[in-house]
Amino acid sequence: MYKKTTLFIYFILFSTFVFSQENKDVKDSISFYLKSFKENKDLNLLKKAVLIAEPTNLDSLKRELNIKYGIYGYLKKDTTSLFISQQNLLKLYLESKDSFALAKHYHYKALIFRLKFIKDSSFYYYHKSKKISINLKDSLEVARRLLSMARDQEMQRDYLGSEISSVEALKYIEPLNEIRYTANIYNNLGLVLTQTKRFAEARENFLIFKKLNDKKPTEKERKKANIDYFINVGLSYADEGKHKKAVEYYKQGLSIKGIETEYPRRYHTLTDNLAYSNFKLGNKTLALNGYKKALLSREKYKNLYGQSISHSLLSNFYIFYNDKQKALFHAKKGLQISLKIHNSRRILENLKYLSQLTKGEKGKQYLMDYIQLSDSITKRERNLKNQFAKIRYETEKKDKENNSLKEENNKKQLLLESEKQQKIIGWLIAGVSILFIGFGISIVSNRRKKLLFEAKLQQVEVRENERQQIAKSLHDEVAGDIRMLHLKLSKANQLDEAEKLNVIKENVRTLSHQLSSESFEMVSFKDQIINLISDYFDVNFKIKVEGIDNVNWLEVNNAIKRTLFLSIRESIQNTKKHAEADQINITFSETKKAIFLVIFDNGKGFDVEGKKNGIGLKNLRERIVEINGVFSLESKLEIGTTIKIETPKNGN
Amino acid sequence: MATKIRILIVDDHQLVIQGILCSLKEVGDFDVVTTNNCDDAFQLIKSHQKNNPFQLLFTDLSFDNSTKDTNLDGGEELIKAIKNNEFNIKIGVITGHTETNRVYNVISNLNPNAYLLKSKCDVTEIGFAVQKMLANDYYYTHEIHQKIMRRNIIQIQMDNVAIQILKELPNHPKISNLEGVITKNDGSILKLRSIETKLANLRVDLNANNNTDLILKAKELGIID
Repeated sequence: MYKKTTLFIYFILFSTFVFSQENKDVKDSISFYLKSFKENKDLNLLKKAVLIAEPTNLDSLKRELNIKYGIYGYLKKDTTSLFISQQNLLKLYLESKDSFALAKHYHYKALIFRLKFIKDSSFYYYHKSKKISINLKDSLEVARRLLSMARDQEMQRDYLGSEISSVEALKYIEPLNEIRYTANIYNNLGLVLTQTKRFAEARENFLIFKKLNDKKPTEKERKKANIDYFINVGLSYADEGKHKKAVEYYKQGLSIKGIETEYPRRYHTLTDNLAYSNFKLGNKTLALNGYKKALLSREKYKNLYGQSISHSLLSNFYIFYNDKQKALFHAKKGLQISLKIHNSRRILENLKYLSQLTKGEKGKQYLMDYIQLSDSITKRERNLKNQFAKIRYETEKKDKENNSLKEENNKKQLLLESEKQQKIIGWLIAGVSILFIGFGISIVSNRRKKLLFEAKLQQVEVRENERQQIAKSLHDEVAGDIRMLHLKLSKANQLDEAEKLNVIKENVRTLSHQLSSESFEMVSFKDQIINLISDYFDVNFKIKVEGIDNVNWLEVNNAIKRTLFLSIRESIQNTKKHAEADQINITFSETKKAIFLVIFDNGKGFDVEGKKNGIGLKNLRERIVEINGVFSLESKLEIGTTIKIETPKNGN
Repeated sequence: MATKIRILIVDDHQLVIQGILCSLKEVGDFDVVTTNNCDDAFQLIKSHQKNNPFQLLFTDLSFDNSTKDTNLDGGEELIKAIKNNEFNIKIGVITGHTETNRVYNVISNLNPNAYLLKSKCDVTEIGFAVQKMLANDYYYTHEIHQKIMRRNIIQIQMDNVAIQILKELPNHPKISNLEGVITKNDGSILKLRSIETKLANLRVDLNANNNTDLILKAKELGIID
């Protein structure tokens, strides 16, 4: 058995050792992969790390890895990575009930739909993720989800919805003093306001966006954000029709060093916008140069989206200046590219230009296509808007329902609780009152007992006084009379009778002596017992007393002491008269409530059952019972007699 | 000229008074006054205190002739009154009472110079008692003496410490060795001083001359085996 246990312990130790060793190895290789990923940003490295971590129980590490994997997958537009990470996060949640993982799972699911341009589903999952984060009180995550939702809404021209989402996001994020996402929210607000023609307000938000940007830690971040600021403010002026102002901002943006190489898209946008404003201002050459510059650069960076914009802008430009040939070329090119990238807005734009540019059946066809697409786009946009609103409304409704349910539950709970409490209070009161009553009854009964006991003791004392009185009158009157008679008889020379009378007189004296007793206030109980024993003690009749000092006699009621004294005297007299004993042992002991007295003699004993007990013993028993005591008598022939007496000290 | 010794006799029985008077006549030439109640006795002693005081008093303990008006009801009361007034008079008790209780109480509380019993009293004994009393010594008649002794024995037997000392004493050459051996009822150790006091009391109680005598007497009386 012993060997088995040690073996078992060894096994456990060994296995945990191996286990921890394994974990260590996993951590090492993961950190290696992470390091190399940091260097060359190869998603496969992250994927490997995720796969290595998968079979272990390092939950928090797994969570970190999957989140990282997912976000980089999104940034690289790799839906597979996102899908894997999103699945892993769901698994983590199911295993460990980690709600954060669930929130991320929904988040990444939203991102997948976003990459697939399925906006309503993306919006739905953002919303779900947001709700979990609200429950987790993770304000930053909530704000980020709201920001994403606001961005989507803005892009789908649900400006009101976007504004609402942005404001809500601000509510969550402002207490955190966060910079990056806060800035982005303000930026989005600015965009929304621009789109809804509230230009001054929009620019106020852009200004906040810029101020926040200036606080960003790295030069690179600040630069990027500054460009955005110039673009957006410029746009707001352009939309307002203040193209001169717009040009100022665009130029400031373009003057930022290295913009073309570092942020080509922004550079293209700025160039385009500047050209457009110039176009609006009538600066034909400047505008055309700008458009061409942007297109060239976009072609260089193979930015199809940008190219489609450039082409439609150029087409628009040429239409304005009546160069149909060129306009047609750019419109066709634009349509081609935008069809390739499913950019419906550009398709629509180009279709419009084409329908204007071409005559006859072809032109009609373009127009029909335009109308159809336009219809479907507006329909879709409307649908999406409705979808967004529906999702919002339904979840809010659900929330409300949940809240009202919760409230109802709480109310019920409270009601139950208060009922329970009332019940408990009721029981408590009942219990307390029962206790109280019991206590009262016990007090009353104790008091009664005590009073009864005291009354009995008083009775004993009264009888004692009576006895004293009788003793005194016996001694004083009867004995006196007898003495007179004795004198008379002596004088009359009746000596025989006189002698008999003398015997009677002696008897009366003894009787009086027997009846009389000294008060315990005058002579202590112990001294009286000693005196009593002295009267009977003999070399042939030894009396031994034990434990008399164990009892504090000062605290014992006089009636009890009297009873005990008389019991001892009666016992000694009985023994001396009948038992033929040569030894009596008297033992005292006490407890908190009672006094015990044992009187033993080594006499011949007697049959307790058979012989009717003498009047002395009967009196003895009665006296003890009278003061609530217990009297017992045992006798064995040729061995001796034992009297056991127990008297309470007080009434209880 | 030497003044006669004045003696006061108090007894409710004329016969007893006569008897005592007769006996005293044989003992010597005394100036004897008699009365048959305690109140009168007290008044006599008090009034003669300044001039011609009594030297001796013989009194009974119980008086049958007491009435409602009686102030001092019995010998004990009389003796107590005398002691309270600190009258210089030697007291002897002549009585029939032999109950240990009464004897013990009278002797231990009132400390009379003599205790005689009417039944056993004769001229010789009265003479002896008078002599002792005049010398401020004590004389108890044989039976009373026995009673007191017996009482002492009983008391010693009930005294755990005393028994211990008596038992241990023969085992130790010096009394000081007893310290640490003798324990009180509560288990604490008895100091040497207390042991010595106890021994002295025991010698008095058992009428022993020294410690060896004490042990012998204790054995003789069956206090120790």
